[in-house]
Amino acid sequence: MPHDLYTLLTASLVAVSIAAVGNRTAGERARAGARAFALCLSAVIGGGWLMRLLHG
Amino acid sequence: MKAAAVKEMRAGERPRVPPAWLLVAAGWLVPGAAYLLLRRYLQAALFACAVWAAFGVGFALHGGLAWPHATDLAGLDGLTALLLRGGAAAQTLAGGPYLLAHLLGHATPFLDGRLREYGTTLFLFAGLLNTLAIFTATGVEKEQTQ
Repeated sequence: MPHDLYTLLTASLVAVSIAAVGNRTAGERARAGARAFALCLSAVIGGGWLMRLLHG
Repeated sequence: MKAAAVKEMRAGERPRVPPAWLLVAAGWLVPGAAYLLLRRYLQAALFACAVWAAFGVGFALHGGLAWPHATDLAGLDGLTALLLRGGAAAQTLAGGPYLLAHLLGHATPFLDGRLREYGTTLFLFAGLLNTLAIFTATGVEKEQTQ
């Protein structure tokens, strides 16, 4: 499995689990999940660029 | 979920809340079942999908579910051996899917599982997600009984 696909899969799983916890409406869950997914991807992309800047 | 609870409240009864031990046992055996017993169907479905998806992809990637034997850990320092044992123990927290995989004869040796690390990590992830589902459901149960 390619790294990027695996990253998307694990980010989706984290997002779904974050959306599932707490006492929220369905809309709030969807927003929480989308935000968690976006944050996971931002962290991966940001971390990747940071490593590239540090190590070349 | 809410309609049934409201109906019971209108009838002058408090919604019946299953005991914590039942939530833990059912949640371990069937991912999402703890929320199902609390009639929180969306949360049950989300957790069930996440745990089964992680476990299914781990299975497809031939991840390892085997417990490490002393020979597998030979030459490793204590902390690494402890972490590997902990990882194998956390996989059992996936519950039903873990038992099903063993019943289906999924027997990748421990060292092969280390080589197919993506799948092994997803098994571990499934166990952790199921634990999260059980613990948050028992928290909801405490809120409802108070």
